[in-house]
Amino acid sequence: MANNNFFAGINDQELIVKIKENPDFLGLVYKNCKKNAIRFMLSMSNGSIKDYELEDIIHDAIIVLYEKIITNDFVLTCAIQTYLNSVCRFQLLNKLGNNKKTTEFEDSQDDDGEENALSYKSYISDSLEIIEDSKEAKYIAIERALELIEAAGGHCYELLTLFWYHKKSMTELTEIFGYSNKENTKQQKAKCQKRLEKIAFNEMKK
Amino acid sequence: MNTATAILRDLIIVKFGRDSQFELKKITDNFLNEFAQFLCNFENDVKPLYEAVYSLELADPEKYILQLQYIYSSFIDELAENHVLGNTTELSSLLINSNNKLFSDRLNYFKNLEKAIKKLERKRIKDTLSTSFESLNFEIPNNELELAIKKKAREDLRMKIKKWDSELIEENEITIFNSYNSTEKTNIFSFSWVKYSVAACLILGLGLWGIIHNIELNSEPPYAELSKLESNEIIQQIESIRIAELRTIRKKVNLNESVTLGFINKTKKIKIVINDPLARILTLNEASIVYQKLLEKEVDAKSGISRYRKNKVNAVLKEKIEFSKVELEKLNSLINQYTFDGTTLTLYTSSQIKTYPLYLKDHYYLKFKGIIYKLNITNNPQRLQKITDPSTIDSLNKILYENGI
Repeated sequence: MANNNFFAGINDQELIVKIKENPDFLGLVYKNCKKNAIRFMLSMSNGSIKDYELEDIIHDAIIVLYEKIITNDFVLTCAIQTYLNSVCRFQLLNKLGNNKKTTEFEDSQDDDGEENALSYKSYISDSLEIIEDSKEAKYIAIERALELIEAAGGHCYELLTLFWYHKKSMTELTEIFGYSNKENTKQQKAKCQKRLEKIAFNEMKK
Repeated sequence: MNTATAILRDLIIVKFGRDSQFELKKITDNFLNEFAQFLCNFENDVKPLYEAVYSLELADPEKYILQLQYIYSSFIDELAENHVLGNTTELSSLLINSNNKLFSDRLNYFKNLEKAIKKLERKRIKDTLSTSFESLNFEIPNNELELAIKKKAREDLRMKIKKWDSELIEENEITIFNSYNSTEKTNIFSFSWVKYSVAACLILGLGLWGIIHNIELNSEPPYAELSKLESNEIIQQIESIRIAELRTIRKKVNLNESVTLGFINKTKKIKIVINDPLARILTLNEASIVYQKLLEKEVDAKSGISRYRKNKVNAVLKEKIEFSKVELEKLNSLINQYTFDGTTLTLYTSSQIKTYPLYLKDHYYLKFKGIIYKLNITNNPQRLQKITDPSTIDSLNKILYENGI
C-alpha cells in the first residue's frame, strides 16, 4: 500500500503533495530511500555496477519521480521506495541490456503481497527523458543567458524555472512572488523572457 | 472556453478594456473563436480583424487597431508556450500546418528554453539532493543568532562611535585640555558607551532570545511544525520586538560666565534638553538584523513554509525593515546636532555626556567632550561648530576654571 510508509511523521501520499509544493522535500525521499535502492540494485546486479553508477541511477530515479509528480496526473500506486526501486530496476535493466547479469532476486519481489524495502513493480517502466546536448547556437546562447540571469540574482531565473520546469501556474506564481494579480505576474514573466532573449541575442553575436 | 480563447479573452480585456465604451458582454465565445481564427491569418489578411474591432463599437477603435500587432504576437507567444508545455490546441496545430513563421520561431525558441531550463534544474536538484532536506530544517541556533546579532550590533555601534569621535575630536583637544584641567581627560564618553552598549545588548539579547526561542521550528518533524505556526502568531512575535524610545533628559544648569569682573549679580540658568537617540539606534539596528534574517528565511523558496504565511509575514517584515531604515537615517543624521533659542538648548547626543554652557561677550558656547563649541540661535537642528580661536578658547577655559569646573 502506498500509504503505509511514513517519513518523519507523514505518509507517502502527503509527501507527494509536499514535494509538489517544494522540491526540497525530495531530499527527504533521497535520505530515506537511497540506501535501500542501492541495496536493491546491488542485489539485482550482483555487484557488477560501480558505486557511482548506482548513485547516478538513484539520482535519475528521483528526477523521474519529481517530473511525474509535477505533471498533475501522477498517481502513486505503491510505496515511494517501491516506485524508486522499480524505476532503478528499469534503468538498470536498460544499462545491463536485460542480460544474465541480473539475478533471480528480481522476480521474487514482484508480487501483490506486502511491500518491503526491496520491493518493486515490474509494470513500472518510467524513465528519464534524455536531453540531448544541442550544438545549436540558439540553444547554447539561451543556456548561457540563463546562467547569466541566475548569476545576476533577482526574481527572473526563479520565475522562469518555476514556470518552465516546475510547471507552476500563473496563480501559483502570483502567490509565490506576492504579485498583485495574474496579469501582473504574466507581465513580469514576459519581461523576464524578453530580458533573457536580449541576453541570448547578445551572446549569439559574441 | 478552450485554452486559445481563454488566452485571447485575457489579452482583449487588458487592451480593449481601457476604452470607455468597452462592453464585456460583447466578448462572447463566438467572437473569441472568430477573432482567434482571424489572428492566425494576421500576416495575410488583417481586414477581418479590423471589422471585428469595429463590431465592438469602441469609442476609439483606430487606437485599438494599432494594438493588433501586439495582440497577435502575444497570442502567438502564449499559444507556443502552451504547446511546448503540452497543452496543444487546434489553433496551434493549425499554425504548425500552415507554416506560420512567427509561431514556428517562437515554438523553436520556447522548446530550447524549456530544454535549457530542464537541464539546469535537473542538475541543480541532483546537486542539492543530499542537502536539500537539511535546508528544510535550517534554523540558526538561538545562541548563534543571539551572538551574531550582538556582535554585529556592537561592531556597528563601535563604528558609529568612531565616526562621531572623528567628527568631534581634533588633534589640539588634548593640549587645551591639559592646560586647564588634566583630571577631565578621563574618557567618560567611551567608557560610558561601552557600559551602555553592553547593558543594552544584554537586555535586548535576552529579549530577542525569548522571541526567537518561541518561533523556533526545529524541535519537531518539519511538516507538522511548518504548518503549526500561523502567520498571525509570527506577526505578533515580530511586533513584540522592542524598540527603545528616544530618551529625553531635561535639566537646568548654570550658565558659566566670568566672575572676576565682578558684575554678575545672579547666576543665569539655561535649560538643556538632551534627546539621547542611542538606545533607539541600537535597538533599531538589532531589530533590523532580526527582521532581515526572518525575511531571508521566509523569502527562501526552499523554506517549505506555506506561501500564504510567507506573503503575509513578508509584508509585515518589509514594512518593519523600511520603517527601521527611515528611522535610523533620521536619527543618525541628528547625532551631535542642536537647536538653541537663547534659553533652551536641545542636543541630540548621549545623555551620559556632561555639558557646560558658557557665555562670553554676547555669545553662547558649550563645552562638551572637552571641546568648546559656539552656539548659534537656531530652530533647525544644526551641527555643533568647534571654535578654533586660541584666545577665545583660553578665555572660556578660564571661565570654567573660575567656576570650579
